[in-house]
Amino acid sequence: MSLRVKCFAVVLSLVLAVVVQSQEGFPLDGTWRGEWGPDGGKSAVVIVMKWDGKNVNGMINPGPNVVRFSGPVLEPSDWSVHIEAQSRDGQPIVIEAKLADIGSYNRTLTGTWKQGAVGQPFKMARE
Amino acid sequence: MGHLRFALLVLVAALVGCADGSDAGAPAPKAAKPTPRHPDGQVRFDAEPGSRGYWGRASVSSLFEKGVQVAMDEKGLLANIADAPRVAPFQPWALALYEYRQRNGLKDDPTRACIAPSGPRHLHTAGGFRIVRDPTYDRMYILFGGGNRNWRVVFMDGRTPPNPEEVSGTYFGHQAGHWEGDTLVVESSGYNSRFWFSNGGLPHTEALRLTERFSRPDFDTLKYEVTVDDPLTYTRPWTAEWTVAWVDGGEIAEQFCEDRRDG
Repeated sequence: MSLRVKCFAVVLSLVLAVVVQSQEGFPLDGTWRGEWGPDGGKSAVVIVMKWDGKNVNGMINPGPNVVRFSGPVLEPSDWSVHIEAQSRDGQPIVIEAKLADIGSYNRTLTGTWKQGAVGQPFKMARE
Repeated sequence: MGHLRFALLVLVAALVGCADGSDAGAPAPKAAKPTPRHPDGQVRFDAEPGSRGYWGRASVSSLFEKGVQVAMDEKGLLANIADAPRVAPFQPWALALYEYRQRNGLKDDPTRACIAPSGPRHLHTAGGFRIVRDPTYDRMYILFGGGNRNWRVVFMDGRTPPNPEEVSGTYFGHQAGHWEGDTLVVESSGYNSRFWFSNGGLPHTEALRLTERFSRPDFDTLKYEVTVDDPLTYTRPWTAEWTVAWVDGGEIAEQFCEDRRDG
């Protein structure tokens, strides 16, 4: 294993160690796993979110191709979620979703994931 | 005329005397027993040597901001959900989550999965509690009958609670105590967010810091005050307070969650 890979593994494990602690409290805090895209062509996705008191700071697919975002994200009056980011190749990403089963440890996010001009359904659950 | 004046004076004196006599016959208010102390003068929060006792029921069933009056049942369920915004200075998401938990009858309460209560909620668990001084280790222990018979360790050796961002959060956090006169002040941080710190489901995050103040103004009364500081959940620090009654004689009752589930 090259030094670079080892360093990456160490950094990733540290990030996950911090994230794994964030499982309750603010409803979006934590690591979310799921997929988006059309049936038969779904892409796996991981989103990590952390509330700082004013904004949610997040990462889509943490790692070398991470896409970061920051914003209010959550509308608590109806538990809707709105995320805006930009992909590595410059395409706008807009995620509109609804938070469900809020009291559950493995609550869910369901909605549409629009990347460029294409909108696709997506669903995630919190780890 | 002089006799008449004298007779009137005698009549008035007799009436006053009757009034005094009736007051003297009423039971005098029971004088509160003084606060017990250790030989070094420090307030004793536990039973005195050779006796038994523990702290029993609290005067309220959950936390709400000092000066606010809200009706709630013994589980912390509000009698009127419209009172929710008055309970604490919530951030919008926290109010929405508190109302969600209340509207769902507290169905997601982690204690239902036998996860222990923590923070101020410990003092509301059934079975009572004791506050025990340990001079050998320079610590105070708070021992609980309910909540799976947990105990809190309060370090009295001068340490300070950590920055929550620098430690892994735990259920009971890191607790450091000191004395301010006759008041035991316990500061804590480093909590995880996987428990409810109050009956009724007040939310919190790992940024939670608590400052608890315990005092014993007389033998039978524990005065408790807690300041909640969690800037990710509340718009400002806020304080709740209540009293707890001393149960003279007897010991805290053992209550394990698993026993209740089996029963």
